[in-house]
Amino acid sequence: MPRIEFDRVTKRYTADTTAVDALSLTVEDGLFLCILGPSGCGKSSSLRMLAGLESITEGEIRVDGRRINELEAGTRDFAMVFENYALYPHLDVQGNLAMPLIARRMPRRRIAERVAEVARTLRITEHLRKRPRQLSGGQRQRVGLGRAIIRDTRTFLMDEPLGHLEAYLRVQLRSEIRRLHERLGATTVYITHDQEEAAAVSDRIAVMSDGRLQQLGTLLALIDNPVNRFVAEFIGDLPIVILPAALSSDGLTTVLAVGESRLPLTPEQAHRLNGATGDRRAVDLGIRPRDVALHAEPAPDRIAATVSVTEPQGDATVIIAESPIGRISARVPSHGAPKAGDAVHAAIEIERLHVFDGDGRNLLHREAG
Amino acid sequence: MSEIRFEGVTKRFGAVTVFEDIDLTCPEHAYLCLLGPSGCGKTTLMRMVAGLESPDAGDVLIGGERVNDLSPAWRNVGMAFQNYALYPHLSVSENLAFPLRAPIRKGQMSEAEITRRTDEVAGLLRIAWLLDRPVGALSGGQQQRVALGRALIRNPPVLLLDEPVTHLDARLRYEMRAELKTLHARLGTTTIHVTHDQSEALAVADLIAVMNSGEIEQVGPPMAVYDDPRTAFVAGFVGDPPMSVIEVPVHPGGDGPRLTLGDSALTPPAAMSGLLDGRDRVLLGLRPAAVDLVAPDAPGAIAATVYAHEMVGRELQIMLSIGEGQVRYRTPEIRAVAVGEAVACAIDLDGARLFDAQTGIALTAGSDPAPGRAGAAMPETPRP
Repeated sequence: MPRIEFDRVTKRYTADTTAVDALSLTVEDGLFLCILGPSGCGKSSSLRMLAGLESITEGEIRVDGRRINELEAGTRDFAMVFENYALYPHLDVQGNLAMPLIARRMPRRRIAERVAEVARTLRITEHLRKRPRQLSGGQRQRVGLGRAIIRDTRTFLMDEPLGHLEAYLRVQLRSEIRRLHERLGATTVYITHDQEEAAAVSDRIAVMSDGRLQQLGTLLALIDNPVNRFVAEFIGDLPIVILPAALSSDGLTTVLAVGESRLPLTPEQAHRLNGATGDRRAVDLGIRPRDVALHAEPAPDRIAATVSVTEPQGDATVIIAESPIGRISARVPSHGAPKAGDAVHAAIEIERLHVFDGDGRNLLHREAG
Repeated sequence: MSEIRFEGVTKRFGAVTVFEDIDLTCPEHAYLCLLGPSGCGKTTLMRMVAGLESPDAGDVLIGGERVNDLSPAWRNVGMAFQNYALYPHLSVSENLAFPLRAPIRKGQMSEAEITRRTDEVAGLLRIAWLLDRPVGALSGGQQQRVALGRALIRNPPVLLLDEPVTHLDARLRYEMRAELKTLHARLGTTTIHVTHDQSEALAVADLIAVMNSGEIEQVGPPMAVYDDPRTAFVAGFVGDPPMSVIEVPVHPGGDGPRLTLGDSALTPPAAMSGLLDGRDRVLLGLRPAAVDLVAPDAPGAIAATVYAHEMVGRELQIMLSIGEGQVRYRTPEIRAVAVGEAVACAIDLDGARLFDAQTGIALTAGSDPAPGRAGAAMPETPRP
């Protein structure tokens, strides 16, 4: 399967609007890569340049080492799936699926076999004679996917393919997309703003913001080892808590002061902060709600707060509590969870905390290796 | 008094019956979520309280008073929609004050009073600093606060919210739902909130009414709905992830009925055995914690194949195919898995739920073997 490289690719629409800024990114042969980011981050422009739907202002895109900047979109041999399925309304499902093969003058009998096979894979066999308007959104999107996979494509480009489906349909179709990938093994670039979806379908996630690649990694790496505050705030099923803190070191231990609390950092964390802590230094502490435990008793390394809101979620409950230095949240087991108005003392899992400097860099970030 | 009550309410659009003979009560000061997939009838039901739809049969009562024939303007109901419906060219304060200056209420409130009220609501929703800005220049989250403020400006005894946080990004959604809950704790406004997001409903509501295909499947406090789903639909819809619901054959054995999962026959716990008498099929609801991966030669191992797998936060979730059905397994141990891989699993039936294979209604000790009420069975498109 093809290997795709973005080499310092830039897209400028006008002199002062840069949609994509020197993007360098490699999608290895057969890999499923998601480009994830908020709207306007440049993810769609990047995909459209790869597809040949937008010109490349600067830099180079290569497929298997060959520059494709000048190749016509139609000759790039990518199968695309968009958010709006773009089905032919006057053709039935069978006709829609067959269209890419008819266009390639495949023999009739082969086409019929292929359509039947793809319909089986996507479980739309019973809808083959229906028109798109007789189908639900989820079924239409299956047909859109079917049309993309019907010819033996080696590369898929997908732009928010599940974007406007309802939550439960998205959950269902994303596993279908992943199953398909494991069967076909095609190199895939997939655009989404939904991190849960990105994690479910892909092997690697590239987080973009402001036209720039922020970080490339597995979901786990993005959660536990974010390169900066943007990634830390964007990734995670519950928003990360950010509190003002101060770093200080007495030469032996490095301590993070958060309000009245003192959090002793591990020697490894202290080492990574690399002596940057000689003086009291203002930083931002980042804590994920899953890494906070709530206790009834105070301790020097716990943050005192009062519960304001409890949100049951089944086995777990999300607790929102107000502390003198800001709002904190924790995800705790529902059994024995505190109630609104309760005084709690939040214990933070030290190994999991993040420390950001004034520019938003994670001072504890470990280079991938 | 602002209790909201639906009594035998029916709604049809032409030949299509949206729902029939619905009974539902939202007690005064309660926060009720109408939860269900799109097309289940939840929005239509809520719009009847506002007077934007009228029932074809039955009564809608607010505070014990029948409001079927009362025009929307006189119902004293605040409403906020998912698409905000604000006036983009007007400022935040003008948008907030709009309902107070409506022709129908002309002259009822002095300008000084209007300003006082606007400031109060802006303070409540923490948008005081935005009062002079045009709404078109605000972010989505800010616009949603303005829409909420406008719904609250007349201090209505009843508040209706239609997917109020759906369009916001994840971070703001969490922020706003905590806000809604705090606001409700302070104001105590009787609230009906329509959503398709079960996590949101569990988080904010005092009471959840789960709807599916025009039927109310279950009404109860969030944790009661989660812990004790009364139908297979509720079991497969509420929870993250929800229960896996699979249809399994029941075989009579010499020493009691057995459940057939794939190639294996499981002996149910004693409490469950009685419920299986006289049945040849049943729907089995399993939480992920009831499913474990084991060595193929472990006692009780059931042969399964990996149907799909995904990372959810820091954990790995695997959908296992057993026979015709699928069950979800979750683990914090991350390892490489491939679709189609053969594995073995163990299933713990102790916490499992049983539902009638035809009606989808929960089987409990002493339950009628032929329930009278036609419940909806499986979700229309079962979640993987």
